[in-house]
Amino acid sequence: MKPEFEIVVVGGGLVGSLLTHSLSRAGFKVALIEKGDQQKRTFHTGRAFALSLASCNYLKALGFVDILEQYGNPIKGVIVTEGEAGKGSREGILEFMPSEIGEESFGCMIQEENLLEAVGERLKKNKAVRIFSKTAVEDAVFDDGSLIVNLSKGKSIPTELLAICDGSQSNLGSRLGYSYIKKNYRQRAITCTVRHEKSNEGLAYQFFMPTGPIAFLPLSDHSVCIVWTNTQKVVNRLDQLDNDQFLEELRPAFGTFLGDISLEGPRGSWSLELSMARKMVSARFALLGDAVRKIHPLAGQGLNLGLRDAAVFLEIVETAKYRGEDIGFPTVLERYQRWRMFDSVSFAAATDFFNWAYTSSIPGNQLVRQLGTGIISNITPLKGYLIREAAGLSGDIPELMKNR
Amino acid sequence: MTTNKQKAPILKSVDEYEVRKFDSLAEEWWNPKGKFKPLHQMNPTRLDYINSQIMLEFDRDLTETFPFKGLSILDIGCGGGLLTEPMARLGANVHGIDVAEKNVLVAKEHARNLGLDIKYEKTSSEELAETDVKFDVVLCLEVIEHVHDPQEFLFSCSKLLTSGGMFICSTLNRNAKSFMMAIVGAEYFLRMLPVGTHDWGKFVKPEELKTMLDTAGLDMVDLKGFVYNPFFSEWSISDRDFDVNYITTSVISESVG
Repeated sequence: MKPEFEIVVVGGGLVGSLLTHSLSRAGFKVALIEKGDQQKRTFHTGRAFALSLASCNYLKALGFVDILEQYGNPIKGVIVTEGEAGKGSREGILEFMPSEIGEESFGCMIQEENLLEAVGERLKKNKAVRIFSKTAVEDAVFDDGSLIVNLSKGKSIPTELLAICDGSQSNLGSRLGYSYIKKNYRQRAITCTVRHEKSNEGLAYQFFMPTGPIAFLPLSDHSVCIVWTNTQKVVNRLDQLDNDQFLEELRPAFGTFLGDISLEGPRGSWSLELSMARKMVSARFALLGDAVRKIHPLAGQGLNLGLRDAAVFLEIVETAKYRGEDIGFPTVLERYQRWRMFDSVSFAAATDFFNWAYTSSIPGNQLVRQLGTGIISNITPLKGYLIREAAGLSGDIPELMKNR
Repeated sequence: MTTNKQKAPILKSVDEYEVRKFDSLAEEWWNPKGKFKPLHQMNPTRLDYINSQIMLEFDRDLTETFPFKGLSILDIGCGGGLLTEPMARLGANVHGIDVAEKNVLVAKEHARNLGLDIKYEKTSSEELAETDVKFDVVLCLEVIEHVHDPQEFLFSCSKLLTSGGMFICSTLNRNAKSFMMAIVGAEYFLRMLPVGTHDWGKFVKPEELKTMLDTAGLDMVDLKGFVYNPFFSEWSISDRDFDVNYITTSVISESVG
C-alpha cells in the first residue's frame, strides 16, 4: 500500500506551515502535525522579521503578494556602525544600499503575528492539507522500509518522508538521534517596537556596541523594531523595569538621530545560543529551519535561512518525484543537505565571528574589525557579495526564490 | 505469462559466472553507500535520459501524476530494481527480469515494502522472447557488457518490442580511456566498484553496438555519453563524450517493422 501522505511535516511555525503549503501546491499529499493549537496561536511579543529579497520572492511565488503589500515595510538601506549610539557615525561606517546590486530594497520588515496569521489562514483554506492540531509526534519507526509516525492520541500514519520543522534543537530530531554543536553566547536579546519622531526613511541601523549589537529595523516611517543584544546580567535587570524606566535606559543606546522615542506594545527577551545540527538528513528524515541551526540574530537571517531550506527542499523532492525516485531515499535527501549545508555553516560562522569581533575584549580584535570594515567598504566586489548574501541572492538560488 | 518448458533452456547469452557474481552482491542493491554506490550516483542521470526519451516518443507530460500510465515497460537485468521502481512510480506497467535469482528476491521484497506494483521474474530476455509478450519500452542498462553473446541478446530484445516500441540500451565503451577509468580507476584506484565487476574485453564500442542493433532489426536513433565528475561525484549527459559510459535509444527498423 502506498501511504496516504507522501510527506508529513512536523511543526506548524512559519517554516513548517509555508513548507506544507508549498508542497501541497506542488501536488504532494501532505499532513502537518502541530503540538500547539493551530487555531489559537500565541505570538512572541513584539517580534518582527527582516525578510530578504529572496524570502519575499518565495512568499510572492506562494501567493502572498497581498500580505507583503499590506504588512511589509521595504528596507531601503542598511547602515552599520560601531561604538556608542547617539554620538553619530564613527569612522569605519558601512552603508549598504540596494542600488549597489540594482535593487530598490533589501526586502522588507514584517511583524511575526501578521505573517503567521496570514500563513495560517491560507493553510486552513487549503483543503488538500490534513492538519493534526494539538497533536505531538511520539516517535517514528521503520516498518519494512516504510516509515510509521506515531502520534499522541494513539494514531499512526505511514509516510515516505518526515520533514522536521519543530524549532531550535529539534525536540523530535534530538529524540531521533540528531546531535547538535552548541555554543551559549551568554547574551540575551530584547525586542520591542519603538515609535520615533523623525522619519527613518526606510533605513535599518545596526550599531555594534561593546556589550553586543543593537539593531533598528524599520516597521513604518515612524516606528522600528529593536533587537538589543546585551549581557545576561544587564538584560535580566532591564526586564524588571517598567516601560518608563526601560525607556530611560534605552535612550542613551538608541541616540537622538530619530528624535524623541516612545514604546509601543510589549517587550520580550530571549537568551542567545548557537546550535547547529551535525547532519540535516537520514533515510526518510530531513531537518529544516531552526531545527537545523539557530544562529546569532545580529544579521536577522534565521527565518531567511529557514525559508531557503523550505524552497530548496521542495525543489529537490519535486524533481525527484518527477523523475520517479523514492523521495525519502538517502541519495535524494543528501542533495538537499549538500545544497544547504555550506550556507548554514558559513552563516553561523560569520555571525559568530562578527559577534566575537565586536564584543570580545581580547586585545587586537578592534584592529581586526576596523581593518575588516575598511576592507569591506573599499572593495566593491566584496561589498556587492556581502549585500547579495544578505539579500539572499548569492549562491545557487532555488527556483521559488528567484525574481520573476 | 507462463513459460511451459520441458527441457532446460539453452541460454546462449547468459554468462553463468556473471550470474553467480551478482547473486553474491544482491543484498547490497539498496545500500546507497555500498557496492552499487556508482549506480545510485548514476541513477538520476539515467532516469533523466530514459524519461525524456519516453516523454518525447510517447508524448507524455512529466509534470502530470503517473505520466507513464498505460505504457508497458520491461527492465532487463533489473538487479534490485533501481530503475524498475521509478518506472512503476511514474505509472507504467512494469516487468523486471533478472537471471540472478537473489536479485529478483531482493527487488520483489523492496517493491512490496514500498507498496509498488511490479512484476518481477527470474528469467532471461531469450526465454521471455519465446512467449508472445511485447512491451512499449525495453530497458537494458549496464547489462550488455555482462552477457555472453550480445548479438543473440539483442535479437531477443528486439522480439520483445511492440511495433512502435523503443529500446534503450547503455553500456561501456572499449578503449584505453575506458580501461583506465572503469577498470583501473573505478575498481582498483577509487574502489567505487568491487574488483572484477567489469570485464573490459566485454565492453562494446558504439559503432559495434550500432552494427549489432542493425542486425537485430533495430535502428539506433540517439546516442549520448554519460560523463562522471569525480570531484562532485555527479554524472551528466554529454552530446560528444562517449569515451566511457554511453546510452542509446533505438526503434524497430522500418524494413523489418
